[in-house]
Amino acid sequence: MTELVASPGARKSHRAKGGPRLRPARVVPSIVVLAVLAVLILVPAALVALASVSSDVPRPGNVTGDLTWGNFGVLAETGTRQAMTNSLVISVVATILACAIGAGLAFLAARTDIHVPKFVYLVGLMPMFLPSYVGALAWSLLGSPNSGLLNILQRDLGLDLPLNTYSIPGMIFVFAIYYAPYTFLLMHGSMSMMGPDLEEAARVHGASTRRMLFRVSFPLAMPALIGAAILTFVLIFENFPVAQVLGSPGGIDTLPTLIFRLLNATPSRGTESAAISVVLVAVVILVTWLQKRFLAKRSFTTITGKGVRQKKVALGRARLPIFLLVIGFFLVSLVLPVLALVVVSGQTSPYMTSLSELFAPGGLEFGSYADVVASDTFRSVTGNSVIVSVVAAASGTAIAFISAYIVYRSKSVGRTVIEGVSMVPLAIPAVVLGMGLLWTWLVMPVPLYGTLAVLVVAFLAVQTSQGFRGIAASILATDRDLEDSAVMLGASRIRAITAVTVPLMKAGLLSTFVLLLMLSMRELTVPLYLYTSDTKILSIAIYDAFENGGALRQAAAMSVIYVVIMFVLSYLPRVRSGR
Amino acid sequence: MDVKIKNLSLTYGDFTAVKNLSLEIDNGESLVLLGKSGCGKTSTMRCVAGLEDPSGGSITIGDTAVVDADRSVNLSPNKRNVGLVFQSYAVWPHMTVLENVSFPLRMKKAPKSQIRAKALETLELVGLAHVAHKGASMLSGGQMQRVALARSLAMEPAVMLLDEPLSNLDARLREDLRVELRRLQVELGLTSIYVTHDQGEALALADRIAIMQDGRISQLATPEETYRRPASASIAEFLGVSNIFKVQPASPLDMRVRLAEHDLEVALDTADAMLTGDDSICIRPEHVRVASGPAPAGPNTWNGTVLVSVFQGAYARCTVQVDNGPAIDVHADVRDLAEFHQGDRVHVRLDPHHVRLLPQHAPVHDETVPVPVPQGV
Ligand SMILES: Nc1ncnc2c1ncn2[C@@H]1O[C@H](COP(=O)(O)OP(=O)(O)OP(=O)(O)O)[C@@H](O)[C@H]1O
Ligand SMILES: [Mg+2]
Repeated sequence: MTELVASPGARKSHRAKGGPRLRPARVVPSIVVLAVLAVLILVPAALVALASVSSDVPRPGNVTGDLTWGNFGVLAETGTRQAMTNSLVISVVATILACAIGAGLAFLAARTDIHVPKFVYLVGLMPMFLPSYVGALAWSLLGSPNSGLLNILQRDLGLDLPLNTYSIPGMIFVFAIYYAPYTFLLMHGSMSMMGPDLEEAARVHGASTRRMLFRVSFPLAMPALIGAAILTFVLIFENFPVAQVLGSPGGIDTLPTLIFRLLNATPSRGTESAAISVVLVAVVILVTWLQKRFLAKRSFTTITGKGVRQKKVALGRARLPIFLLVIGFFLVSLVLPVLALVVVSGQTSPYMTSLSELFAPGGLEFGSYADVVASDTFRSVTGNSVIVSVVAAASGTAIAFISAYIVYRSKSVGRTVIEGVSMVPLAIPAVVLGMGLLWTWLVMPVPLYGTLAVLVVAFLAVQTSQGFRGIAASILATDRDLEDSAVMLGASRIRAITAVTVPLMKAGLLSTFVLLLMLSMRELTVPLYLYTSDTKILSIAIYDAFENGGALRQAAAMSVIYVVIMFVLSYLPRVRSGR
Repeated sequence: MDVKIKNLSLTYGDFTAVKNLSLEIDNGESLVLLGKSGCGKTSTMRCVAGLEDPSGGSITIGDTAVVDADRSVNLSPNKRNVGLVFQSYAVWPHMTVLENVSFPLRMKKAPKSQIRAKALETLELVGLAHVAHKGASMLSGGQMQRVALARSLAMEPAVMLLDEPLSNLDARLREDLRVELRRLQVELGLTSIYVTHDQGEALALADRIAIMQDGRISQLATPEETYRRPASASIAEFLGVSNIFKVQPASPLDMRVRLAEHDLEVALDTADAMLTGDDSICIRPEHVRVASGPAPAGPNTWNGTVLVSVFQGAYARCTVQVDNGPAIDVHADVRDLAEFHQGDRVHVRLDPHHVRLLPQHAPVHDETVPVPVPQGV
């Protein structure tokens, strides 16, 4: 009994190499998921690429035109070069400003003895919850050259400062405000985790606070800052709605607005749009690649990850003035825009020459809300928004769960491909993907175009990456032994997933769902390509109402309601995780 | 039920974690897989459980072939009726203790009333009936370990696999639970494979110990045999034999060997060692006698100086630097402790039959050649 078992006649044809043979369970789910992702993401991307070298845009029954490089001729046109310059100038300057604001606020909130640091934290974060194009719309109410509320106020006060949000500086300003939170979040994380030992070492060796900050702390935070800057640059560079809202009245094009305008021109210049799109995507990929390299290097920042107690930097006499600056930013980013929307929603006279009119009897009246809420249009667009967003968020979470499960938990073939394809939408600006989605669903032999379903499909495509990342983080944090033990105890794999893994990932699933819900509720670019009069959603209705002028009060009222919904949505996960 | 593992191989990409491993476990037997971290113990166990797909070989439990790479048989883990206690406990924090233990019974579709009774009975067995309704995340480490055990016991597995089940517990608890595990295993007549890298645990729990090195089993023997006759110097070293000295190549019939790094001859009393050219002598510290004064005449009696002497409770651990020889670890009787201080001149004496001459590695068990059973000296 104590013998090692001999191996009589062990076969030479031993399958030591080559690994286990493929089982259907390892192939079928991968293929299904890849097929879904391909239809959602790869087909639209391919159609744009195809259109850029084709004589005609894809149409039903005729996907490809003749091969041509002529579309790239559009790149040499003055208009395109102007748009490229505008895009670069706006993105670079706005990125620098956004990073300065974000990093400054992060430093103040995390590392100084500023008044009410929790408030400073919120100030840094909150602009994120206002969809940027609503911020832009509100700022156009405040700063448009003639009827802007601030310009009316200037006239009341006898001032004449040049204030015009329909200009490149105006756009830079609005971008800087609404993209500062990204830097803020990244830097706040990095600054509050920074181990105090290096700083203390500097102090021990006689450095003053100021020298310590400039010689040790800031250089340590540098990689995080560069990462944040590149992310911000990409987001601004590919942003369509803000540029559209603020740029088009003054005839200022950026690459995204140019793409959209050319496609919708009569006659349509869709293939040239596609050519510009290719350039846009190339820039985004290049810059994202740079970001990867910087983020990969970030490990040298000796972030300890322990909740260490750090010394707060004393601001001294600058404490109050700096706090006032923070309040100033709060006013500009949130209070004034929301106030402007509220004022306009209650403003009775459409043409105002002085703000005093607002305070005259009957000058402000909020009946508009009742009108809006009671109107059929509002009800139908809100209903559409809710349906589309909930369905897109739920199915997006489900797809993300299945993909991430295959990638991180299974030995299926094609795992890395699934992960790669899930990340593709990060590199494709919404304005480009939207165009591809439009063509895809016009061409597809499924009658989806013109229904709410096509919006769901589009949202799924645009948000694949965010969903995948959210779920991946959560799945990686859940010990796989927990699920395996259920299988060992007799549960089928599916049963083990539903009885153990899903309940354990409840928080992660929920927060991904809420994130996707928020992204869907605020998405404007992609639905702009795909909506029809029957399938308007809230973001489109607001944008439309402002673009077409007309019922400005109702438009403003709708925006206020929308903003309230967005704040409630972004607050939800906090309430839950707080417990 | 008995388990037969034949020519099992497992690869992760290019890396082969288990190499052509064969092993049989009798019904009701407790086999311990003992080996260094990374030698492939968990991998072997996961193959038996069905969580990894072997690239070659077969495993049979009772009369059922659960996996056979050559015949494309591969029973999924939930159909194998194999219990697995994970190192990480893997107790589900979102359920109560009772729900955890009821789970396998629910999967077996047992009637409701029976489930509850059986689960409580199993909890009783591991002494946890009083926390049945607590949330599983509220338990201590030792309690979680018992819940994990109870959960697997409740399914009445054909084989029980335990992967370092005690390694996350503190030393005291570990020893208590070790005894309890052995009691349960014997009482229930469980066939079990127990993985550990702790030799104390292995000696206490095993009917047989399989020493695993580098994806292979290099010795399979009873605990006593393993302890007394390690099959190679590397196994002896792993088992805590601290005096291991390389020797010069010698003829197998010689009753003396010369150390490779010192000018010292050591007498043996057996001559049947399998000499490979890379051999060592291994001496357990408790077999060395130490006394003060110059050495009397006799085999393996050497003068030396005490380098360090440490009180360890039951014995004193000394290191003696032999003149012109190596430093030798000695476990001296505590009563002698007072006599030895650093720098004292002493002599050490070593009975030749306590000297083992061993090859560096046990002979590799090759795929096509029937395996010789490695024997000690
Ligand atoms: N999923 C995997 N992919 C690649 N290599 C792996 C994987 N799992 C284990 N290995 C490698 O296989 C070898 C054996 O691993 P295994 O977990 O079986 O070791 P072990 O003996 O259980 O060690 P320990 O005592 O540390 O648990 C190790 O070298 C390990 O690095
Ligand atoms: Mg292990």
